[in-house]
Amino acid sequence: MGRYTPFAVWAYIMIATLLEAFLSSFYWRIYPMLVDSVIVALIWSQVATVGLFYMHLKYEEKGIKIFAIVPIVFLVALIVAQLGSVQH
Amino acid sequence: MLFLANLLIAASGKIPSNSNPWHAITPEWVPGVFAPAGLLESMPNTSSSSAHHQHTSQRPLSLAAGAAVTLTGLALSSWKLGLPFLGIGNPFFFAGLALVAWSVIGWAHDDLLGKFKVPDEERGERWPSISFPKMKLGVWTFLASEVLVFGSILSSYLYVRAFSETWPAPGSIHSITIGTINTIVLLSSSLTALLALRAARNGNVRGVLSWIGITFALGSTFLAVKGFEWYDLTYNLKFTPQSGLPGSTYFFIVGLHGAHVFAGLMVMLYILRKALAGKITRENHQVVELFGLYWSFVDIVWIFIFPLFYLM
Repeated sequence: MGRYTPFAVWAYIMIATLLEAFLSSFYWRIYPMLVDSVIVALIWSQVATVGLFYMHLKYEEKGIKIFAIVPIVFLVALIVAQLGSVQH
Repeated sequence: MLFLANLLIAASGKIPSNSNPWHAITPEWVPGVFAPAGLLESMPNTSSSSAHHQHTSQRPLSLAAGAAVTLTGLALSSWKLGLPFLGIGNPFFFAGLALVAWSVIGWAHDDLLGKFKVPDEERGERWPSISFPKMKLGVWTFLASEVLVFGSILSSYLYVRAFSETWPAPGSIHSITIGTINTIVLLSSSLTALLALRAARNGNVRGVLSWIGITFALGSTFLAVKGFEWYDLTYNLKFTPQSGLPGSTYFFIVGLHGAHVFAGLMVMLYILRKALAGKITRENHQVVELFGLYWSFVDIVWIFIFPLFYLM
């Protein structure tokens, strides 16, 4: 990892957090669906950034990367299976 | 049937086995390591002064027992019998918590004394984690279970919210300003945890102490602000866990996350103690790296929780 990479990552997640708060505070009541979509995109970008750099996944062996991805696959399967219990 | 056939063939002695029938590569299968009976002049030394006596901590066992007793107290809570809080489960719950606390503190103490050190295994024993340490694999396995815990809880929250006719708008109950400040504090602590790891890799113990100390301060600030927020919600806005689904989901999920933050603070105290004892060096700093993984995961969970409850 580069010497200034942690600081660049920190700067990005700070900007993303402030942008989320700004959009929610001033635009959510006008464009709720659009603001929610942008916030969700920002959330996943922050998660990916923290996971890749702060949790070192970008620099880890393939085995560790698999260990990080497999639970997400199981979680998606769990959520899909729960959809069957949704009352219509 | 196959087993019985093998058993009869082996008992007949018609097909002798060689000294390494499974082609194993660990030391006990190397021919000639164990001498034939009668060749030794005296019994081998098997006293407890050998390296294997270091696995002598009982704290993992007592921790499991404490968890079981605590959960027994929770299970008995449905029988109130006029008693407050958990009813007849009270003594079990508090005794279990005390046992858990005693076990965790003792476990950390035993680790400082080096009771959990084991020699590195031969290559054959370390498979499949040949290129990365088993401890790191263990932490990632734990984080995988946490992904399922928080993932299922948050997906349930999304489900009840999607099918609720009304839900408080952003900013109507939870202060966006306070939530944003708290998020900045917590996410900044991930940076300081990473800088602590960088210091540990350079053998800079003072740097480790400083950065872990700052991380501890930021984590404590997060919990303090959260406590202030909960006090204001409960006593001024009358927003409690009994305030319908918005209240119960908020306090449960944020409370569970707060418990994880608190556990991280306890680990940081242990790391500070270990660093002060000179146990964290350039060659032995895995605990700082593994803590960083856990702390970054706690931050990732908050990255989901903050927008879901404060912004959307």
